Formats: sequence, structure tokens, C-alpha cells
Amino acid sequence: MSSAQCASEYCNQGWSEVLTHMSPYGYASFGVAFGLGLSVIGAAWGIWLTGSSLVGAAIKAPRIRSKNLISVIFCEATAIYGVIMAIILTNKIKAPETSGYYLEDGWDYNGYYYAGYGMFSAGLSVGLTNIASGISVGIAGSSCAIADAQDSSLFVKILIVEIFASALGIFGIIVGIIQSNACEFPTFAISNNYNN
Amino acid sequence: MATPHPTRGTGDLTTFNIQHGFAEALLRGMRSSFLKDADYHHLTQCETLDDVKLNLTETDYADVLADSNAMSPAAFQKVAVEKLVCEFQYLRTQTVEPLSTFMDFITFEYMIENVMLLLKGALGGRDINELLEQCHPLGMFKESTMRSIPTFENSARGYQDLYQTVLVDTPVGPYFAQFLMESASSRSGGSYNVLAEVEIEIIKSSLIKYWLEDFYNFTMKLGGHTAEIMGELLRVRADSNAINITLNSFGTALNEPAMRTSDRKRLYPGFGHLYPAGIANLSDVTDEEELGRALEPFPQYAAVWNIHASGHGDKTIDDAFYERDVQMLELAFESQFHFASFYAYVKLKEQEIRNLVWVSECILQQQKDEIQNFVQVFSQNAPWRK
Amino acid sequence: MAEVPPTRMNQQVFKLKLKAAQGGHRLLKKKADALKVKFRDYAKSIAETKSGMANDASGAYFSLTQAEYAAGNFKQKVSEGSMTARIRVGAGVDNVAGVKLPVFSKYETGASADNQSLGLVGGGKKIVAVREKFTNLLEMLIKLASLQTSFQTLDEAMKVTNRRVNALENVTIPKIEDTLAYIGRELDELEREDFTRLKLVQGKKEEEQKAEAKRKALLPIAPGKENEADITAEYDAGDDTDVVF
Repeated sequence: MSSAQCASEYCNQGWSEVLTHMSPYGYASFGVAFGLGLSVIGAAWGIWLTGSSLVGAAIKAPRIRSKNLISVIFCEATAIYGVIMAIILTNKIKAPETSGYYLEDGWDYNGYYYAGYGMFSAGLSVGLTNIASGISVGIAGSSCAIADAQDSSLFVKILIVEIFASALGIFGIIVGIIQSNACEFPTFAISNNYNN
Repeated sequence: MATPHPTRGTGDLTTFNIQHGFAEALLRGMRSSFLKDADYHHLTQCETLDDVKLNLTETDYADVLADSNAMSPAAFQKVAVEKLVCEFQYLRTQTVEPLSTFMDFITFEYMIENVMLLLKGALGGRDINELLEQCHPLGMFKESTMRSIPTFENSARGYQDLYQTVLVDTPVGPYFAQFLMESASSRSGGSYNVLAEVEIEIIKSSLIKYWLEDFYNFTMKLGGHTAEIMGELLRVRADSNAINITLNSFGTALNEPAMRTSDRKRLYPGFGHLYPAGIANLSDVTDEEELGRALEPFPQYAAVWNIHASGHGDKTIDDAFYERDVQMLELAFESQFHFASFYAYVKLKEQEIRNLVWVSECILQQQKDEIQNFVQVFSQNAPWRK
Repeated sequence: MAEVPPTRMNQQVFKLKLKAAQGGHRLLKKKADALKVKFRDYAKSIAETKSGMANDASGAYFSLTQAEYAAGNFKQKVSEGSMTARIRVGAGVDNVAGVKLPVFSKYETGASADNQSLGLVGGGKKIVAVREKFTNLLEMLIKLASLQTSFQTLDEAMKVTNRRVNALENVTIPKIEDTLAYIGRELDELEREDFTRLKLVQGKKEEEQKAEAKRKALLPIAPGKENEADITAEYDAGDDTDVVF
């Protein structure tokens, strides 16, 4: 932030202002984007790590090439977690039924913000866990390919390590689903009930 | 010395594979080409070189042996070295910076040897083609440059020209520059005198020392796992060089009081576990007993020294060093995402070729009692695996 | 044989020859025996050296293998070094029973040892061992070369001597003996011939004497007259020419 104080009332006072003034719909959509995007980055990263080793190791030991595709599939799974989460979250974003420029009086702002922040963080939890999971599966998969090329009995053992790495992504998606479960975008005002 | 600064790092756990994953995995795949315990067992049971060749056709050497009619230990060695060089160059073409520079560094050691060979051959007036034949294929550089080394006339001026026009162009030129500079400061006369007067092994040892230091600096600049593992390998190599130089200088001119500080001390690399305190001690020792005392504070070398000093069995200090080298080089393969395995691969293959020559020589010379006295690579029966 | 005139003189000459031949034969025989003893000595030490060398040579070459294992290939470095020999082989002469035998011995030229620092960064000790072993081997080789050459020269000399002994024994001496026997035979023959002739002459003379006696008995000569006959009548003066000295 620049040190010069902005005098105008429309001026943002800082990043907090940006965060608080962003629309919950925006948050929710960013949640979807981060959830999917980071998961795919994780998956792609993992496939890169595994793939380069797999291709290299398969030159001297061609037998590993189809067996070790499972590492690539494990990486791919993290992208699928992201896609699942993205679909769940997208389904939860509902446009308001009001047609006016402003939200109606008695709009459920609590639920509104809760849904926005909740879905954003659900997306982030899935994205960040899956990026970690994707990379760790990738590293384990890379070692798996190299180890398998040397000694095929090691394949299953390292695969278990990979499964554990892959489970990290599942933790993310479980928590993400629980997080997003409670998030319900209000579609109409509930002010009538307020007056009672 | 101007150690080339790596243009980018090696990458860590998560990014190494982006640039070097393929080459590393390729190398790891090649690891399975090492002769196994069973292969060694079969080889040592052979009665004739025919049997050896027959057994080798069941290993990774099958293809290269099929095309040649090699039937002597020297021929086996030639074929095996050619195979190694072929693999190395294949690997080298798959690499990108900074791994390619790292691999070039591995070849510099052999280049130094080749340049020394050519220079000395030129002094003796030997035929260039004959000399090129003897050069180690891993240390080959531009042939026109190699060919022009022995063409210079055998005079002070000729050597001046040689150095200024040819040697500076070779990859190992900077080491020559450093050597000539250091020698010029302590000796009178130009580069000709230095090249003609100093024994070839001493020039070579000096150049190897500069190369080691340069390699070490480069490795340190690379950082990460590479610095950690390769640094350790190079430190140990520097130490064993220093110990070997000291031990082998006994009984030669190098051990004379005047030479001890002026020449021998200059051959000790400027890094390693022994540096600086141990090196300072080493430069004063005059016999084996003192050497043993100087090594006492360093448990890892004291152990190796005790093998030599006790003299029991037929294990010599060279065997002990080889054994430890193999152990350390194998460890480089225990960890991923670093460059040290490339160096380890070349060195372990060299050891394997040495073993192969040893076994076939033993069979040829009917020395069955000695046939087991080599250091196996990736053996399940290695002392450090028991 | 036939060309030798069987005379007393020749017999004498050949007797001398036989004596000389037998003397020579005896001497040569002695020499041959001496050579044979020496020959056996040499054969024995050659066998010993050779069997020792088989071990030493394989040991030396094996130590080279060991050194190459420890220090890498250093052959080229050795061959690039200065090529002045540190050890040379000198030739001397030994005399056995008049046979000159060549003897080789090594001597150091005093050229400085180069490549001292070979294997500086590894394997130096092994290279020193190789150097020692090959120096030993070289010494043995020189010894063997010396023995072998002597052996051959001796062999040649022995052959010549034996041939001479055999020639004397089987050809010269029998020939001389034959000649002597022939001469003796011939001389005996001559003697016998003389004897018969003498006998014959004697017989004739006796017959004549008998006939004379008979005639004298038939012709009685007055006693005392028998000596009257002119004794010179029987000699014709013309028969004898004056002996002029």
C-alpha cells in the first residue's frame, strides 16, 4: 500500500478491503477455479516427475512401462479429485432469483458470505492438498519406476508409499466436501421470517 | 580459477525431474547392466578365456562382444571401455545444463591424461596416429586440436606457441595456465622448461589437483543434493589422493626435504576432510610411521591405514581405497535427484572393467588363488552389506 | 695300404704313428669326459633356472596385472619415458678344458631411474614391486642366456671332440694297426721267402758237394795231389776288377 492516504471514500483501504468487498459469488467461483486448477497443476507436476523417470527407466527395462502407468494414474487421480470438487462446488453456486440490481431487503447475508467463504476455502483445501498429493505421488512414482527397473519386487512396496501419498488428496477432498456441505447460497430473501 | 558458474541450479526434490529426470532414469536403468554376483561367480570359475567370453555373452556385454573377436584381457578391456564411452556419450547427449557441464567435468580427468600423453609423446618424437590410438576415448576432444599438440617444434618458442594457441583452447587449458603460472613463480625459465623438466606424473598430479578443486567448486555452486553427495565423494577422493601421493613419494625425489614443501605440498588438493589441518601434517611426514601418526586424528583414514600398516592378508592400501570408493559410489545410487550418480556410474564401470581384466588375467596366467581379490560392484556379499 | 711299402722303416714310422694316435685318443677322451661333466652341470643348472624362471616370470607378469589393477594402464607412460637403458649385458669368456665359453653378465649403466613417481595418486607401491620383480627376472634371464649359450657352445665342442675320439678310435688307429699288421705280414713273408731260397741254395750246394765228392771218389787222385790244383785256377782274374776306392 502506498503511504499516501487516499482521501476519497471509494478508495480501498488495503487488501482487507478487497477481500471483504469481493462478492461471495466471486469467492465461490474462485474456490472452484483454485480447487480444479491447483489439483490439475499437482497432477500435471506429478505426471511430469513420474513420466520423465518412467520414460528414462523404460529404455533399459521396457517391462516397467505399462506397470508403472499406475503411478501416472495415481497422479491423474488428484486431477479427478479436483474435477469432482469443482463439479460439486459449481452445483452449489446458485444465482439469486431476484432480478433487480440490488439484493432484496432481508437477504440472508450471513448465509451468503458463509457460502462464499466456505466454498472458496473448500476449493483451496482440495487444491492445496491435491497439489501436495500430486507432487508427492510424482516423486514416489518416479522412484517407483527407477526401483522397478532394478528390482521388480520393489514395485508393490513403493506402490504402497504411493497410495499413502495419494491418500493425502483424499483427505483434502473429504474435508472439502464437508466444508462445502454447509454452504448454501440463498436464492431469495428471508426477511419475512425476520419480522416475526 | 574461473570455475564456470552453473547457469541454473539442479533443482530439488520437486523440480529436478523437470530437466534431468529422463537422463537420471536412463542412468538408473543402466545400473542394471553391472555384472551381478552370479556373473562374477561364473566368470571366476572359468578355465579359459573362451569360457570367459561365453559367460560374458550372457551379460550386458553380449552385443559388443558379438561384434568383436576379442580374446585377450586387453581386448576385453578395450571393448568394455568403448562400451562405457558409448553409453556415456549417449547419456551426455540426453542432458541439459548444468548436468551437461557436470558430465564434461567427468571427462576432464581423462583429457588431462590424454594431453599429457600427447605432450610427452611429442617430446619423444612419436607418431601422432600412434599416440591418438593410446588416448583414453573418454578424454577425446576436437581431433584437430589433439592433432596439433605434437606438431609444435621441440623448442622453448615452440612450446610457447603450443601453449598460447592450442592448450588454451582445450577444455583443460585453464589448469595448464594455473600450473604454468605456479611453476613459473618458483622456477626460472619459460613453459618449455617446465614441461620438459618436470616429471609427467607430477604435472599430471598437479593438473588433477586443479581439476578436483575446480570440480568441487562447481559442485558446491550447484548446491542441493548434488553438493551434498558429490561434495562428499570429491572430498574423499581429494583425501585419498593426498594420502596416496604422500605414501608413494617415499623413496623418490619428492620426499627430499627441499621438495617436500615446494613440490609435494603443492600436489595436495585444497579441500577435503584432511584440509587444512591434516594436509599441514601430511606435508611434513617423511616415512610411513609418521604418515600413520598424521592420519590418526581421522578415524576413517586411520582404519584404511591400519589395513596397510598391519600388512596382514594380501590387502594393500590400494585395495582398501578401492573398496571404500566402491562403497561410497554405491551410496550415490541410494539417493535420487542429484548428479553424483553420473560420476559414480563412470567410476563404478571403471571398477567393473578393472575387475573383468583382473579375472581374465588371472585365468590367463593360471593364478586361481588370487582370482577373488577384486572389489565387486553392487555385490550382495560386500563387507558393508553384511 | 698297398701304397705303403712294407719296409722296416715304414714299420718303425707307423709304430710311432700308432703311439701318437693312442696318446691323442687318450687325451681327447679325457677332454670329452671333462666336457661331459661340465655339460651335465650346465644342463642341470639350466633346468633349475628354467623351472625357477617359470615361477618368477608368472609372478612378475602377475604383479604387473596387480599394478595395472591398482594404478591403471601405465605402459604408455613407461614407453614415453627416456629410453636409456639402466642395465646392459656384458660378454666375458670362460675356459673349460680348452673350450672358450661366452659368459654374459649385467652391469648398470648408471643412467638415472626415471618414472620414479609413477602411480603417484595410486598404485605406486605396486609399481615398485613390479619393478623389483622384473629386475630379478631380467637377472635370471641373463643368467639363463649365459648358460644356454655356453650349453650350446659346449655341445658343439663336445661333438667335435667326440667325433675326433671316435675317428681316432674307429678309423685312424685301426688303419695304422692294419698297416702295421700288413707290414709285419709282408716282412714275415719276405723272411720266409729268403729262408726257402737259402734252403734251396743250401740243398743245391749240398748236392753239388755230393756230386763232387762222388766224382772225386771215382777219379782217384794221387794223394797230396789234391791240393796241387791251382787254387787260383778257379778264380778268373778277369772276373774281378780292381776295386778302386
